[in-house]
Amino acid sequence: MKINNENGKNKLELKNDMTIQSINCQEFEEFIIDFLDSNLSSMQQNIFLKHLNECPSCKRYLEDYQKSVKLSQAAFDNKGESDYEAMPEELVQAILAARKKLP
Amino acid sequence: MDLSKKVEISTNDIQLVEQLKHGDTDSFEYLVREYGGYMLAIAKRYLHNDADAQDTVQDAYIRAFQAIHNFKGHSSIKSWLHRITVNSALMKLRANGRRPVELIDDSPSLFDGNGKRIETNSEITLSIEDLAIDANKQWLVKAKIDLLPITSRNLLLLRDIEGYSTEETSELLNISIAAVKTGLHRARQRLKKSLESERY
Ligand SMILES: [Zn+2]
Repeated sequence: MKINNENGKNKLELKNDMTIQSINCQEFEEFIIDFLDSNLSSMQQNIFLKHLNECPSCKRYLEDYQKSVKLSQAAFDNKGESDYEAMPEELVQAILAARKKLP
Repeated sequence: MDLSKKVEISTNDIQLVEQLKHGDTDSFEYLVREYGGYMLAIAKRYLHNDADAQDTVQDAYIRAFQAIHNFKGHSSIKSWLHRITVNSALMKLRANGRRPVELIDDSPSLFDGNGKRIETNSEITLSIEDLAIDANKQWLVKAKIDLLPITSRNLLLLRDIEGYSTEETSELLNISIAAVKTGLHRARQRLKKSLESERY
């Protein structure tokens, strides 16, 4: 993925100063990260959403992309159970001993 | 979990930090017993070998002990220890060197000459609900994440699982903000492809 062009400014940034135009799928993809982090200006977001509404392939792509992120989070979800492992007593003792050796 | 939020530090934490700064042995033992299990769980996300995870927790406590004077109270002790643990785990991973990775086709999305997406008919058939009811499916996705190349895996764990911001991740991995963004996109894309390659 190429975020910056030669000028060090991305296309959406450049377009931010101009009249709203449309972006293609490749440009759309470069802004998914910022879109999901709510880092796009409202003008950038409008251009992004316009493409999303007009392009079924990017819509499908983004859906699976977000699903993949949610699946990774669900994989680590311990459903309200403790996020603590049992702490072995030997480890507690090893840490206390290591601390004593410090200056 | 948003760790970038400033956490109101509790009076308990303030007291504990004061005692730790004075070298109080009982307070250090309390810290180890209170948060050790939590730190061990975090370390195990990065390191699957129990001995490595335990080493990481020990390293983290020693570093915490040595750095307690720098603890400014901008976060809770728990999130401070969380960060130190992640740091220690990343160092351990670096020291361990190579690990096996799944050989997946990780070519980026394809576009035609006009930047139009060339569609593939792959999709993820696994559902979030499957994971909620089936621990084996959870394990399967974790295994997929484990098999990502190390940078991809670390970025995914830090941003999507631990909830660190782009800026925090850039500090933890000592790479630029742009590299975090590009790398995270690549990591998510890799995982997406890997999940698409399975039929559940
Ligand atoms: Zn498109």
